[in-house]
Amino acid sequence: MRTRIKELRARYNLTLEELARKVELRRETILFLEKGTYNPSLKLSHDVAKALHSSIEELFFFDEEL
Amino acid sequence: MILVIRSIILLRDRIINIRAGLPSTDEKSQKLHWKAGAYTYYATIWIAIGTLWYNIIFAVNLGFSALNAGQVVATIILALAAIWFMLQFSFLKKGDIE
Repeated sequence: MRTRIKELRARYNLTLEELARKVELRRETILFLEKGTYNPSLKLSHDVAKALHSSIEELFFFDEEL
Repeated sequence: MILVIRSIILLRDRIINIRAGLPSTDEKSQKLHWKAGAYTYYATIWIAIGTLWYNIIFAVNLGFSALNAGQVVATIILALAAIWFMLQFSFLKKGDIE
């Protein structure tokens, strides 16, 4: 799984801590999400997408969709 | 000692997050915590059975010194602590377990 979290975070000038505070997560969890090594729940995906003014489909995608 | 080290590492981790104004636990840390606990539970059952087998096979049949109740409990607790620590650490590094 890949994500565009890092790209969108840079676009909106958000640090890891700021994004973590927005979605009430630990900083390490945001790091794992950006790497695509952690599969978030639907609610968490929605919260992260909302914080980055995006949708779940635009934020998370699987390799076969590339 | 293992319990103390583990507690210090986890406490330090939580304090860093709290000082940054972030939650000390979240979905991922809770999921990994529960998974590590479940696997430790299964391992503890087998360790308890293993100590029983040791007494039956090695102590009774082969003449080794049998483990008394205190030694059995200490073995189980130490093994439990070590397994839980190793599992939490490895799950934390891995990122996710499905």
